[in-house]
Amino acid sequence: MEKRLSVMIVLLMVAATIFAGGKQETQAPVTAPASAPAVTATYDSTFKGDLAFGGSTTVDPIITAAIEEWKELYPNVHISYEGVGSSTGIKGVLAGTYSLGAASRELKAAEAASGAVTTAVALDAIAVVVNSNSVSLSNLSVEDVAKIYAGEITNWKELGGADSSIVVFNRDEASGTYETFEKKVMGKTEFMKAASVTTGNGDMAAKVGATPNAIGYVGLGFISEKGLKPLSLNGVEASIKNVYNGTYAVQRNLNVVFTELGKIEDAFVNYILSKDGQDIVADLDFIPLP
Amino acid sequence: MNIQQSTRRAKREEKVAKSVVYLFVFLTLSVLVWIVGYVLFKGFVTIKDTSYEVTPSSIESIASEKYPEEPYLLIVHDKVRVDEILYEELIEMYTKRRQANWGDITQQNLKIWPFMYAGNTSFYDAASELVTSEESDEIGDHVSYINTPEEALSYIENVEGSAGLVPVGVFSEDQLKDVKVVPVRMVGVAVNDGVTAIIDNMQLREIRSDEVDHLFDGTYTNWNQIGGPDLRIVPIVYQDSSIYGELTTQLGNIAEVYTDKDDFISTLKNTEGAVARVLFKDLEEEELTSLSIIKHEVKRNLTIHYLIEEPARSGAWGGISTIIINTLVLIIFTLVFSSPIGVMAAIYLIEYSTENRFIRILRLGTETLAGIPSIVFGLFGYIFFVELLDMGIGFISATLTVTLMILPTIIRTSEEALKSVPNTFREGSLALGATKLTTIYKVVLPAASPGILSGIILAVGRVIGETAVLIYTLGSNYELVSSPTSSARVLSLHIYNLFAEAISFERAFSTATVLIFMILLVNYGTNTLIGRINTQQRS
Repeated sequence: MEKRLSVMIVLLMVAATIFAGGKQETQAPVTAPASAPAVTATYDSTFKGDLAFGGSTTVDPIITAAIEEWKELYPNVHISYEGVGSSTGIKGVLAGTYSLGAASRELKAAEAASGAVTTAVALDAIAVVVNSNSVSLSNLSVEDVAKIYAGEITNWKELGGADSSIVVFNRDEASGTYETFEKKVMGKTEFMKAASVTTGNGDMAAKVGATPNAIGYVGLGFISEKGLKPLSLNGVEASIKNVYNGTYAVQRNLNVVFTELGKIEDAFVNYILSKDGQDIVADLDFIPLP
Repeated sequence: MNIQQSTRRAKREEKVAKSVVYLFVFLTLSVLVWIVGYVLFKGFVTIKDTSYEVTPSSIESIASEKYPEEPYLLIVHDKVRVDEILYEELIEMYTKRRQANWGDITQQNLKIWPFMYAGNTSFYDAASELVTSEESDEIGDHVSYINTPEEALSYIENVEGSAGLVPVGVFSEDQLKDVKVVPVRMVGVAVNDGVTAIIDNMQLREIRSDEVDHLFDGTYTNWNQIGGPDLRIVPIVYQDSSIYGELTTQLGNIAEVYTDKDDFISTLKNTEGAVARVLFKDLEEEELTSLSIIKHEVKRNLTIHYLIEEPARSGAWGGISTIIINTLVLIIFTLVFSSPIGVMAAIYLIEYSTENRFIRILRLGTETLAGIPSIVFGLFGYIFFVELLDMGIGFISATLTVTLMILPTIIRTSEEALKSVPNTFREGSLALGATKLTTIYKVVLPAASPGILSGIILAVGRVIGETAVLIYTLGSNYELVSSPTSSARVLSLHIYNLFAEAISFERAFSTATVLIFMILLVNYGTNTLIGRINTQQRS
């Protein structure tokens, strides 16, 4: 028994050293080379405090990465971001829970009336994706996609593919991606009721990637997920270039939401809009503002 | 005779029954082993197909066009976990306006500090030609300048995350021991535009890496064999004294060979069905159409670095050290709140209360609460602690909610443990003149402690695995928990976030592996502890 106890103690000590080591590693100052990274945002050393941001899960990577880069300039400011969804985020901003929110859609009339304001920080395109192992098609017209989602086309054969029925995945109605897709692809056509509903871009990517003959739609940042093949729409590939030149129509703004910008929040939003911030946006496979 | 027969029959029946039991045990065990084995396998090994712009073949020494006879090596600080690098990444490292981070390549949160040669030397000419392209031709502000290649070694050794090019032959192999020489992947597959045309809604975009050679050695003769249009495959090859020369030796040659570059490029652009290996730089400069290469990769997944590094970029970079600590802190605090209350409640129910209607309702209540889905506790916690008491989404709300959730479990198991202490213990103690409190404290509790402990451990297991409750009460911030109100993330939540946001399935599985080992450790620890208590009491 004594032996077992000592084994446990040794394990604990090993764990302790490991964790201690981990902290040291991140604290160890890099021998900084002569030139510091260029910063365009203005610096105010009086900034400090704890801030809570929250909102869209789609915008989460952008805000999180921006917070982590920004933190290096303002070590006294501590910001957390909760990915709770666009609608909950806007609610949080209006209730004062979050001093800055993020939304992957435009404001609804009621939200704007309550005093919420948005600023676009990035663009995103929505790509129609299919299961890459089972669907041979690479291009569809927007009308055909709408017909698939309306339930008028139910077999890949009708579009020139293999003879197998189409498995349609949709998003939940609260999603900003859903709203944009509805507006830009469906137009006045109604969604069919039978489609399976997925809860997020990641969930959608996983399900379409794993289900034979499936079709779905995700933000541009997700098209390289396992098992996915992005479709060209009307012969136009879903790419950053085509969003800029306007040929790829299924695109949207990613916004930050606020009622009134505090000093720190204002500096933070300016940072995302600065060259550095927009570089972060591009690194994350989203589309910087033109 | 009859007796013998019935004995035989009984034996046979026993055999059948035994084998049925064994079968079920075997099935259950194999399902369990399969599940745990699958998660652990996925946790330790990653197998996936990744699409690249370049082929897997990597080149160690790269030469510029200006000085084709003076090849360079890419050397990198030893701490950077990189085995090979894409040419695109090398260019980005130098020309990106914002300083690049190794995270994009190796998932470690470490800034890239590249170096370049100062002044108008041939070193500068060659190296700057290699690290810039026509599109991105400006070397960024974050690049440090050194004077001679001899200074490179000390720079690389002293600056974490540094990288740069040194001429081949300046350093001996012994000198390069403490820094890494990293090969560069820079060969793409360029095709004639017609190959990637959309025909009948179909388009050839990608090719598996093991099929690339077959395009050149004559195994494939028509593009429709690999899902392209009905066009003959026309392989062509360019040969010169530098890297292109190395490329041609890599294939059994049925291809047409060119020695003039312009001629080669225009043939590629104008011949239907043409295909060639082209350096990534030329691919971009000549605006050639290329096929993406799918590489089948098998990699180690869970490493020690994953355990000791702090998470960054929503968990896509770094490790899970702070998340592991958050999990431990949450466990400790929930236990501090719940176990005294739970055990005392159990003592009241068993030792002090008399069986009446109130107690029966109380017992029914705890039993029901123990069976309620955790998401209900989550909703309650959100409404009550987060909103009504205005504690906000954070550590204190989560601790209190989880405490409420595991209390019934602790009460129930402690009750059973106390019940199983024989009444003779209590009677003996009371007969010796001890008070009721002393009896409980000195006699009943020690006897019941193994049972109570295993109940608490059961509760710890629930806390470790809990997700639904914590989504609404703990939040998703992956920094080290610093105050009662700060939002935090624990292992199970991290797995949920990695999966739901499609950040990384591999990372979700390696986190799950860590979770499994934590539970194993907790269970092993309890068993040891209970064993110790039992032997102590016996002696």
